[in-house]
Amino acid sequence: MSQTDKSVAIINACAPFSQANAKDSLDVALIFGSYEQTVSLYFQADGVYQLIAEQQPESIQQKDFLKTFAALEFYDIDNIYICKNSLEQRNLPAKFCIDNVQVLDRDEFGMSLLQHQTILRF
Amino acid sequence: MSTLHLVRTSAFQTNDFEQCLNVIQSNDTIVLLDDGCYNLNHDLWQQALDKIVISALYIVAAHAQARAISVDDREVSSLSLEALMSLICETEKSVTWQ
Amino acid sequence: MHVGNFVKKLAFVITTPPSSNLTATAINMITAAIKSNLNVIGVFFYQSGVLNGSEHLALPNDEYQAHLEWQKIHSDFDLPLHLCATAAEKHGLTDDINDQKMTNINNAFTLSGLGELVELNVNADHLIQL
Repeated sequence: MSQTDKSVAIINACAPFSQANAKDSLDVALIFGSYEQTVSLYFQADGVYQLIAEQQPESIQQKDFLKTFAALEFYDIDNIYICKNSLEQRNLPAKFCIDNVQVLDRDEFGMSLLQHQTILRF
Repeated sequence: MSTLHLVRTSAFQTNDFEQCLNVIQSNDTIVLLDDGCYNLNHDLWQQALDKIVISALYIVAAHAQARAISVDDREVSSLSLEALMSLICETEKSVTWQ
Repeated sequence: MHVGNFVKKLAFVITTPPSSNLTATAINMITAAIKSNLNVIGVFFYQSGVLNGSEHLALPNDEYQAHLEWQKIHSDFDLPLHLCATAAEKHGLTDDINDQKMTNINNAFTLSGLGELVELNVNADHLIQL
Protein backbone atom coordinates (compact mmCIF):
# COMPACT_ATOMS: atom_id res chain seq x y z
CA MET A 1 0.00 0.00 0.00
CA SER A 2 1.72 3.17 -1.15
CA GLN A 3 1.89 6.24 1.02
CA THR A 4 0.10 9.31 -0.12
CA ASP A 5 0.34 12.90 0.94
CA LYS A 6 -3.41 13.23 0.64
CA SER A 7 -4.79 13.95 4.07
CA VAL A 8 -8.28 12.96 5.11
CA ALA A 9 -10.62 14.87 7.39
CA ILE A 10 -13.77 13.35 8.78
CA ILE A 11 -16.48 15.63 10.15
CA ASN A 12 -18.69 14.14 12.84
CA ALA A 13 -21.99 15.98 12.89
CA CYS A 14 -24.36 13.55 14.61
CA ALA A 15 -25.03 12.69 18.23
CA PRO A 16 -23.86 9.20 19.20
CA PHE A 17 -26.80 6.87 19.66
CA SER A 18 -29.92 7.44 17.59
CA GLN A 19 -28.13 6.96 14.33
CA ALA A 20 -25.24 4.72 13.41
CA ASN A 21 -23.32 7.65 11.95
CA ALA A 22 -20.95 7.97 14.88
CA LYS A 23 -19.88 4.37 14.68
CA ASP A 24 -19.81 4.31 10.88
CA SER A 25 -17.59 7.38 10.99
CA LEU A 26 -15.21 5.83 13.47
CA ASP A 27 -14.94 2.67 11.34
CA VAL A 28 -13.88 4.84 8.40
CA ALA A 29 -11.37 6.75 10.53
CA LEU A 30 -9.83 3.53 11.79
CA ILE A 31 -9.56 1.96 8.35
CA PHE A 32 -7.69 5.00 7.02
CA GLY A 33 -5.51 4.88 10.12
CA SER A 34 -4.81 1.19 9.67
CA TYR A 35 -3.63 1.91 6.12
CA GLU A 36 -1.33 4.59 7.54
CA GLN A 37 -3.20 7.43 5.89
CA THR A 38 -3.20 10.76 7.68
CA VAL A 39 -6.64 11.30 9.14
CA SER A 40 -7.99 14.11 11.32
CA LEU A 41 -11.30 14.17 13.10
CA TYR A 42 -13.57 17.17 13.41
CA PHE A 43 -16.58 17.33 15.70
CA GLN A 44 -19.26 19.93 15.04
CA ALA A 45 -22.97 20.50 15.75
CA ASP A 46 -24.48 17.51 17.58
CA GLY A 47 -21.31 15.58 16.78
CA VAL A 48 -19.74 17.21 19.83
CA TYR A 49 -21.95 15.01 22.00
CA GLN A 50 -19.88 12.01 20.93
CA LEU A 51 -16.90 13.25 22.90
CA ILE A 52 -18.36 14.39 26.16
CA ALA A 53 -17.31 12.63 29.31
CA GLU A 54 -19.32 10.32 31.56
CA GLN A 55 -21.80 9.00 29.04
CA GLN A 56 -23.32 5.63 29.94
CA PRO A 57 -24.38 3.90 26.74
CA GLU A 58 -25.00 0.63 28.53
CA SER A 59 -28.09 2.26 30.09
CA ILE A 60 -29.72 2.04 26.67
CA GLN A 61 -28.25 -1.26 25.59
CA GLN A 62 -25.68 0.42 23.43
CA LYS A 63 -22.26 -1.06 23.12
CA ASP A 64 -19.75 1.31 24.61
CA PHE A 65 -18.22 2.15 21.27
CA LEU A 66 -16.78 5.15 23.00
CA LYS A 67 -14.14 2.72 24.20
CA THR A 68 -13.26 2.33 20.53
CA PHE A 69 -12.01 5.90 20.64
CA ALA A 70 -9.04 4.43 22.48
CA ALA A 71 -8.13 2.71 19.18
CA LEU A 72 -7.55 6.13 17.64
CA GLU A 73 -4.34 6.43 19.58
CA PHE A 74 -3.22 3.00 18.41
CA TYR A 75 -3.47 4.16 14.80
CA ASP A 76 -1.84 7.51 15.48
CA ILE A 77 -5.02 9.43 14.91
CA ASP A 78 -4.34 12.28 17.26
CA ASN A 79 -5.56 15.32 15.40
CA ILE A 80 -8.95 15.64 17.00
CA TYR A 81 -10.74 18.95 16.86
CA ILE A 82 -13.97 20.13 18.37
CA CYS A 83 -15.93 23.26 17.55
CA LYS A 84 -16.09 25.68 20.47
CA ASN A 85 -19.26 27.31 19.20
CA SER A 86 -21.07 23.99 18.99
CA LEU A 87 -20.07 23.25 22.60
CA GLU A 88 -21.23 26.66 23.79
CA GLN A 89 -24.53 26.41 21.94
CA ARG A 90 -25.17 23.21 23.85
CA ASN A 91 -23.92 24.52 27.20
CA LEU A 92 -21.24 21.86 27.29
CA PRO A 93 -18.06 22.18 29.31
CA ALA A 94 -14.82 21.16 27.63
CA LYS A 95 -14.71 17.80 29.44
CA PHE A 96 -14.12 14.93 27.11
CA CYS A 97 -14.00 11.15 27.24
CA ILE A 98 -10.66 11.08 25.43
CA ASP A 99 -7.44 13.07 25.64
CA ASN A 100 -5.94 15.10 22.81
CA VAL A 101 -9.09 17.00 21.92
CA GLN A 102 -8.32 20.48 20.66
CA VAL A 103 -11.05 23.07 21.05
CA LEU A 104 -11.10 25.45 18.09
CA ASP A 105 -13.18 28.54 17.61
CA ARG A 106 -15.30 28.84 14.48
CA ASP A 107 -12.65 30.46 12.27
CA GLU A 108 -9.86 28.13 13.34
CA PHE A 109 -12.13 25.11 12.91
CA GLY A 110 -13.03 26.01 9.33
CA MET A 111 -9.49 26.92 8.33
CA SER A 112 -8.10 23.73 9.83
CA LEU A 113 -10.77 21.53 8.25
CA LEU A 114 -10.43 22.91 4.74
CA GLN A 115 -6.69 22.28 4.55
CA HIS A 116 -7.37 18.58 3.97
CA GLN A 117 -7.63 17.01 0.53
CA THR A 118 -10.46 14.60 1.19
CA ILE A 119 -13.29 15.57 3.50
CA LEU A 120 -16.04 13.14 4.52
CA ARG A 121 -18.93 13.91 6.80
CA PHE A 122 -21.11 11.63 8.88
CA MET B 1 -6.74 26.14 -2.36
CA SER B 2 -10.51 26.41 -2.54
CA THR B 3 -13.28 24.03 -1.64
CA LEU B 4 -16.57 23.28 -3.33
CA HIS B 5 -19.48 22.84 -0.94
CA LEU B 6 -22.32 20.62 -2.14
CA VAL B 7 -25.40 21.58 -0.11
CA ARG B 8 -28.15 18.98 -0.39
CA THR B 9 -30.50 19.65 2.52
CA SER B 10 -32.92 22.39 3.49
CA ALA B 11 -31.90 24.76 6.30
CA PHE B 12 -35.54 24.79 7.31
CA GLN B 13 -35.12 21.10 8.18
CA THR B 14 -31.52 20.55 9.35
CA ASN B 15 -28.56 22.66 10.35
CA ASP B 16 -26.24 21.29 7.66
CA PHE B 17 -26.25 24.54 5.67
CA GLU B 18 -25.57 26.55 8.83
CA GLN B 19 -22.60 24.28 9.57
CA CYS B 20 -21.38 24.78 6.02
CA LEU B 21 -21.49 28.54 6.41
CA ASN B 22 -19.61 28.26 9.70
CA VAL B 23 -16.58 26.69 8.01
CA ILE B 24 -16.67 28.26 4.57
CA GLN B 25 -13.77 30.41 3.36
CA SER B 26 -14.16 33.44 1.11
CA ASN B 27 -12.66 31.80 -1.98
CA ASP B 28 -14.91 28.72 -1.76
CA THR B 29 -17.84 27.76 -3.99
CA ILE B 30 -21.36 26.75 -2.96
CA VAL B 31 -23.61 24.54 -5.07
CA LEU B 32 -27.23 24.12 -4.03
CA LEU B 33 -28.73 20.85 -5.20
CA ASP B 34 -31.52 18.50 -4.14
CA ASP B 35 -33.37 20.03 -1.15
CA GLY B 36 -30.46 22.44 -0.74
CA CYS B 37 -32.24 24.51 -3.38
CA TYR B 38 -34.75 25.59 -0.74
CA ASN B 39 -31.94 27.50 1.01
CA LEU B 40 -32.21 30.22 -1.63
CA ASN B 41 -35.18 31.49 0.33
CA HIS B 42 -33.77 31.00 3.80
CA ASP B 43 -32.40 33.85 5.94
CA LEU B 44 -29.01 32.10 5.90
CA TRP B 45 -28.69 32.75 2.16
CA GLN B 46 -27.80 36.33 3.03
CA GLN B 47 -24.75 34.97 4.89
CA ALA B 48 -23.74 33.12 1.74
CA LEU B 49 -24.09 36.34 -0.25
CA ASP B 50 -22.01 38.19 2.34
CA LYS B 51 -19.21 35.63 2.47
CA ILE B 52 -18.93 34.37 -1.09
CA VAL B 53 -18.70 36.27 -4.36
CA ILE B 54 -21.88 35.77 -6.42
CA SER B 55 -20.01 34.14 -9.27
CA ALA B 56 -19.17 31.29 -6.88
CA LEU B 57 -22.78 30.62 -5.88
CA TYR B 58 -24.59 28.01 -7.95
CA ILE B 59 -27.84 26.08 -8.06
CA VAL B 60 -28.67 23.00 -10.13
CA ALA B 61 -31.34 24.22 -12.52
CA ALA B 62 -33.33 20.98 -12.81
CA HIS B 63 -33.46 20.59 -9.02
CA ALA B 64 -34.77 24.14 -8.55
CA GLN B 65 -37.29 23.67 -11.32
CA ALA B 66 -38.56 20.42 -9.81
CA ARG B 67 -39.28 22.34 -6.61
CA ALA B 68 -40.90 25.39 -8.27
CA ILE B 69 -38.03 27.54 -7.03
CA SER B 70 -37.48 30.50 -9.26
CA VAL B 71 -33.88 31.44 -9.73
CA ASP B 72 -32.74 35.06 -9.78
CA ASP B 73 -29.45 35.07 -11.64
CA ARG B 74 -28.36 38.17 -9.75
CA GLU B 75 -28.14 35.99 -6.66
CA VAL B 76 -27.03 32.64 -8.00
CA SER B 77 -25.95 30.99 -11.27
CA SER B 78 -27.75 27.99 -12.71
CA LEU B 79 -25.96 24.76 -13.53
CA SER B 80 -26.72 21.67 -15.52
CA LEU B 81 -25.37 18.43 -14.07
CA GLU B 82 -22.68 18.31 -16.76
CA ALA B 83 -21.59 21.80 -15.78
CA LEU B 84 -21.62 20.71 -12.15
CA MET B 85 -19.24 17.85 -12.92
CA SER B 86 -16.93 20.28 -14.74
CA LEU B 87 -17.04 22.58 -11.76
CA ILE B 88 -16.16 19.68 -9.46
CA CYS B 89 -13.17 18.92 -11.64
CA GLU B 90 -12.02 22.51 -11.57
CA THR B 91 -12.01 22.61 -7.78
CA GLU B 92 -9.40 20.74 -5.80
CA LYS B 93 -11.81 19.24 -3.34
CA SER B 94 -15.34 19.15 -2.13
CA VAL B 95 -17.33 18.57 1.00
CA THR B 96 -20.93 17.39 0.93
CA TRP B 97 -23.48 18.74 3.38
CA GLN B 98 -26.34 16.26 3.60
CA MET C 1 -12.56 17.00 -19.96
CA HIS C 2 -8.87 17.74 -19.67
CA VAL C 3 -7.20 19.96 -17.11
CA GLY C 4 -3.92 20.56 -18.89
CA ASN C 5 -2.86 17.12 -20.16
CA PHE C 6 -4.45 15.42 -17.29
CA VAL C 7 -7.84 13.76 -16.96
CA LYS C 8 -9.12 13.85 -13.42
CA LYS C 9 -9.97 10.57 -11.76
CA LEU C 10 -13.14 10.67 -9.70
CA ALA C 11 -14.46 8.22 -7.14
CA PHE C 12 -17.74 8.32 -5.28
CA VAL C 13 -19.01 7.22 -1.88
CA ILE C 14 -22.75 6.59 -1.81
CA THR C 15 -24.56 6.52 1.51
CA THR C 16 -28.17 7.03 0.41
CA PRO C 17 -30.68 4.22 -0.15
CA PRO C 18 -32.34 3.40 -3.50
CA SER C 19 -35.66 4.87 -2.42
CA SER C 20 -34.17 8.32 -1.92
CA ASN C 21 -34.16 10.91 -4.67
CA LEU C 22 -30.66 11.77 -3.47
CA THR C 23 -29.54 8.50 -5.05
CA ALA C 24 -31.09 9.47 -8.38
CA THR C 25 -29.04 12.66 -8.20
CA ALA C 26 -25.90 10.65 -7.55
CA ILE C 27 -26.60 8.38 -10.51
CA ASN C 28 -27.27 11.37 -12.75
CA MET C 29 -24.06 13.07 -11.64
CA ILE C 30 -21.97 9.97 -12.24
CA THR C 31 -23.57 9.45 -15.65
CA ALA C 32 -22.92 13.09 -16.57
CA ALA C 33 -19.30 12.67 -15.48
CA ILE C 34 -18.78 9.56 -17.59
CA LYS C 35 -20.45 11.14 -20.61
CA SER C 36 -18.15 14.15 -20.23
CA ASN C 37 -15.23 11.72 -20.59
CA LEU C 38 -14.20 12.08 -16.99
CA ASN C 39 -12.51 9.04 -15.55
CA VAL C 40 -14.79 7.61 -12.86
CA ILE C 41 -12.72 4.85 -11.27
CA GLY C 42 -15.22 3.40 -8.84
CA VAL C 43 -18.15 3.78 -6.51
CA PHE C 44 -18.16 2.66 -2.87
CA PHE C 45 -21.49 2.03 -1.18
CA TYR C 46 -21.64 2.58 2.58
CA GLN C 47 -24.32 2.86 5.27
CA SER C 48 -27.77 2.46 3.72
CA GLY C 49 -26.21 2.98 0.31
CA VAL C 50 -25.55 -0.77 0.31
CA LEU C 51 -29.26 -1.35 -0.26
CA ASN C 52 -28.70 -0.25 -3.86
CA GLY C 53 -27.03 -3.64 -4.36
CA SER C 54 -30.03 -5.67 -3.30
CA GLU C 55 -31.09 -8.30 -5.86
CA HIS C 56 -34.71 -8.47 -4.79
CA LEU C 57 -35.72 -4.82 -4.60
CA ALA C 58 -39.19 -4.23 -5.96
CA LEU C 59 -39.94 -0.57 -6.40
CA PRO C 60 -43.27 0.46 -7.95
CA ASN C 61 -42.99 0.50 -11.75
CA ASP C 62 -43.75 4.19 -12.05
CA GLU C 63 -40.91 5.13 -9.68
CA TYR C 64 -37.25 5.68 -10.35
CA GLN C 65 -35.51 2.29 -10.43
CA ALA C 66 -32.24 3.26 -8.78
CA HIS C 67 -30.99 -0.30 -8.38
CA LEU C 68 -31.52 -0.98 -12.10
CA GLU C 69 -29.82 2.26 -13.05
CA TRP C 70 -26.71 1.22 -11.11
CA GLN C 71 -26.71 -2.13 -12.90
CA LYS C 72 -26.96 -0.31 -16.20
CA ILE C 73 -24.05 2.01 -15.39
CA HIS C 74 -22.02 -1.02 -14.46
CA SER C 75 -22.82 -2.91 -17.67
CA ASP C 76 -22.60 0.11 -20.00
CA PHE C 77 -19.39 1.53 -18.60
CA ASP C 78 -17.73 -1.28 -16.62
CA LEU C 79 -17.86 0.92 -13.56
CA PRO C 80 -16.77 -0.98 -10.44
CA LEU C 81 -19.49 -0.91 -7.77
CA HIS C 82 -18.16 -1.84 -4.35
CA LEU C 83 -20.55 -2.76 -1.58
CA CYS C 84 -19.04 -2.38 1.88
CA ALA C 85 -19.17 -5.91 3.28
CA THR C 86 -19.74 -4.97 6.92
CA ALA C 87 -22.47 -2.47 6.02
CA ALA C 88 -24.04 -5.03 3.69
CA GLU C 89 -24.30 -7.59 6.49
CA LYS C 90 -25.92 -5.00 8.75
CA HIS C 91 -28.54 -4.50 6.07
CA GLY C 92 -29.25 -8.17 5.53
CA LEU C 93 -27.26 -8.48 2.32
CA THR C 94 -25.02 -11.48 1.97
CA ASP C 95 -23.45 -13.72 -0.66
CA ASP C 96 -23.60 -16.74 1.59
CA ILE C 97 -27.19 -17.25 2.70
CA ASN C 98 -27.42 -20.15 5.15
CA ASP C 99 -23.79 -20.99 4.37
CA GLN C 100 -24.86 -22.23 0.98
CA LYS C 101 -23.23 -19.61 -1.20
CA MET C 102 -26.59 -18.21 -2.20
CA THR C 103 -26.67 -14.48 -2.61
CA ASN C 104 -29.21 -11.69 -2.37
CA ILE C 105 -26.78 -9.19 -3.86
CA ASN C 106 -26.99 -8.27 -7.52
CA ASN C 107 -23.92 -9.41 -9.43
CA ALA C 108 -23.13 -5.93 -10.73
CA PHE C 109 -21.86 -5.25 -7.22
CA THR C 110 -18.70 -6.57 -5.59
CA LEU C 111 -18.53 -7.12 -1.85
CA SER C 112 -15.48 -5.27 -0.63
CA GLY C 113 -13.86 -4.40 2.66
CA LEU C 114 -13.67 -0.84 3.95
CA GLY C 115 -10.10 -0.88 2.69
CA GLU C 116 -11.48 -0.41 -0.80
CA LEU C 117 -12.58 3.06 0.26
CA VAL C 118 -8.99 3.84 1.18
CA GLU C 119 -7.81 2.52 -2.19
CA LEU C 120 -10.30 4.67 -4.04
CA ASN C 121 -9.21 7.70 -2.09
CA VAL C 122 -5.55 7.05 -2.87
CA ASN C 123 -6.16 6.44 -6.56
CA ALA C 124 -8.70 9.16 -7.26
CA ASP C 125 -7.86 12.82 -7.66
CA HIS C 126 -11.18 13.61 -6.07
CA LEU C 127 -13.40 11.50 -3.83
CA ILE C 128 -16.97 12.78 -3.71
CA GLN C 129 -19.45 11.82 -1.01
CA LEU C 130 -23.11 11.64 -2.01
